[in-house]
Amino acid sequence: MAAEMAREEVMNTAAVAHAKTCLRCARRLANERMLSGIVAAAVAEDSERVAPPEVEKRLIAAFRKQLAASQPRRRALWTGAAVAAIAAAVIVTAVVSLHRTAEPPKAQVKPPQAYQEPVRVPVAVPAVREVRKPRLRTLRASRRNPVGPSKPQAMEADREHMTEFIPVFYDPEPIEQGQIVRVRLPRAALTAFGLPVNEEHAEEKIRADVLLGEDGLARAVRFVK
Amino acid sequence: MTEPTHLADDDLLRRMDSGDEAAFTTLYRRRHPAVYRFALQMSGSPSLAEEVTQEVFMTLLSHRASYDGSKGPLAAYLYGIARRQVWRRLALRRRQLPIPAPEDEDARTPESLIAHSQVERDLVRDEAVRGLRRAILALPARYREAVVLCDLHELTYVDAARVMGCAVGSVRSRLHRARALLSERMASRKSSSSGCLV
Ligand SMILES: [Zn+2]
Repeated sequence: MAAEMAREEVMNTAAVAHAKTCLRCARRLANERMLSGIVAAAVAEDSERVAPPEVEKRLIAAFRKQLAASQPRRRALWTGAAVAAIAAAVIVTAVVSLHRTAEPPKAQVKPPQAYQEPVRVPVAVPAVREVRKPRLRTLRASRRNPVGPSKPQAMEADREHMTEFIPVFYDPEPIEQGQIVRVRLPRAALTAFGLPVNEEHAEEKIRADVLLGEDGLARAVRFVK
Repeated sequence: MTEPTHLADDDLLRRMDSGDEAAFTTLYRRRHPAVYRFALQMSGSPSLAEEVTQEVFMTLLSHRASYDGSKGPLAAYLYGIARRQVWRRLALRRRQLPIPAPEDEDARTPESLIAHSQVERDLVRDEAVRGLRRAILALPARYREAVVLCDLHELTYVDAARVMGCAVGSVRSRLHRARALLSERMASRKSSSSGCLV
């Protein structure tokens, strides 16, 4: 950039020097100066121009719509207790933000432009493991007939002593590819899933694995005992 | 709720990703004027500029992953989208729009009326600015783009080259040619309204 400016400087100085002896160029130079004065006036005038406020309104509406579309439907089996709502909120926020930041939306057409690589925002995700195709067909199936975790997970699960996956809501769509996200929930969340809680420890946190569908919605949860 | 105006673009984008509407609003308010003005200066059409502005930020919302902060600042990315949108629309409208008249007879301000009060000086200046806008719109699009980005938006040659997708040298030569054409037109406009003073 310094080189560029130096070059400009040299060119300008040369032009001014030459214009002293050349009438045509003197006129041209005068015209250029007049031009830059008018350009400056135009820039000042334009500095107040903004798009009409309707554009902002339409964009915010679009932002809200997109946000709503990406947020989980609350088809909970366990809508009863207030604590269930709290637990859901905890799961849902953890899950949605993890999902969003960890993985850009998939079904999108890349616009034809220079910046095409997806943004990867590093997040402090506890443990995110891939769940591959044949293992979880539907939540109904997984509940009746829990599917064993894959090898590395099996080892870990053995060590950790897990409950089975408990559906968060019933979804007839089989999960093609999911993710398991490790979160910490208030122990009271156990009651929301029909599990016993020792009242004395209700305030403590418990570790849980949340199974996400491809849409990022929580489908099932299991707790670490 | 206060707007997070102190945050950098990339921080606002991150907040936006987690559903923060105020972050999106702040980003829009910060970055849309350049997009709007660019489209307006390139086309002379407020409705086209409005469409382009909306389209650019819709693209940011729906193709969020297409912006990679490591490859350049958000402003350059937005100019890039705006530019494609403008070119596409100009191509569509080319058949419908008449080329702007180089001179509007009624709008001429005779030099003899110059300008002792501030108001009169302002009128003269406004008229000169209108003349400049017409002259810019009459430039071939590639020259016009160079003038709009480098002179009206004050981008460096390097940034303009990035937006225009050409070499820095091409920006420089287009801009040089564009300025020459403009000053010719502005000078002939001036002398035709005042008689030759030279
Ligand atoms: Zn000469």
